[in-house]
Amino acid sequence: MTPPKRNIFHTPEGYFERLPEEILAKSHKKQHSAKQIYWYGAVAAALIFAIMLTIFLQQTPEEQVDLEANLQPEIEMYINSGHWQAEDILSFADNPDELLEEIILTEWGAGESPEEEQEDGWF
Amino acid sequence: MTYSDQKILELIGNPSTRETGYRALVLSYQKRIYGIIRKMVIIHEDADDVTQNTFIKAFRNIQKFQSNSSLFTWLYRIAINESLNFLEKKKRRFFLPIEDHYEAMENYLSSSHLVSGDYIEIKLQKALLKLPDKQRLVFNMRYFEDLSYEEISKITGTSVGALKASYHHAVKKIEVDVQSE
Repeated sequence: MTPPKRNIFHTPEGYFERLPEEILAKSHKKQHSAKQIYWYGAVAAALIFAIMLTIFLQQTPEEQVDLEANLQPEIEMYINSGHWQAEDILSFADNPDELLEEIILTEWGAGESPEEEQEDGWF
Repeated sequence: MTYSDQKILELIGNPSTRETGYRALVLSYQKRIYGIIRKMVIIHEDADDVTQNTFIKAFRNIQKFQSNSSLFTWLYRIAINESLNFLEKKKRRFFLPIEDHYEAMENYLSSSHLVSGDYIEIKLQKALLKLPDKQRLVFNMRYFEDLSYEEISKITGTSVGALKASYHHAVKKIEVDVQSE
């Protein structure tokens, strides 16, 4: 069998004259769409962030306490593992002096100064 | 108008002449690339879509082109992947079963004014449609495009032995099909 090899497929008139411009136009369009998708994504992310921030700021103090309570185990883990030192915790606080005062009172009791405790410890 | 591969790559490499380079790439290879795709997807509108996507994919990945092969071999590889993916997608569409798309291609061969074959030419194309897509592809490359097994091997990443077996198997099937009526 020797089947024919002639090309039997044809194109509409002027097809190959138009094709390069059509491809370039489609390529530009696709690039533009990709950029649009990127920007839509960025805008969506910003909107989500803004909504989350609004919800957070609108929370009642009780809800915020709950949030802090949820964070407590994580903070404890950082402290217990030695990842955070006392200085680190104090540096996060708004009132480090007051906190330090409280810690001193709890650890050594009212009326005792650390210097006294330290001195006692030498004997 | 044709440009050398080197000239095309030079033009694309320079941002100020990139678009001229893209246009030169299309002008140089569009007829051959379209021809390969058309033999696989048969319908002109589908071949047009696949050809456009092939060149757009080439534009986006031109920095990955390695000069150890020709631009045509590289484009050919993209074109056959796009054609096979196109046919695969048609198969996966649950609302349009595979038989329907192959029936559509078969009907197109008999009825479109963009196909000019005589009885035996159409019969051969219809017999080819009964082959698995990859076997049909190898047959088209070897028989219609006159590519050597070594060239087909480079394009498809398949061994020469496997390609020879595929081609001879395809020829046997076509002979049986054509002589059966």
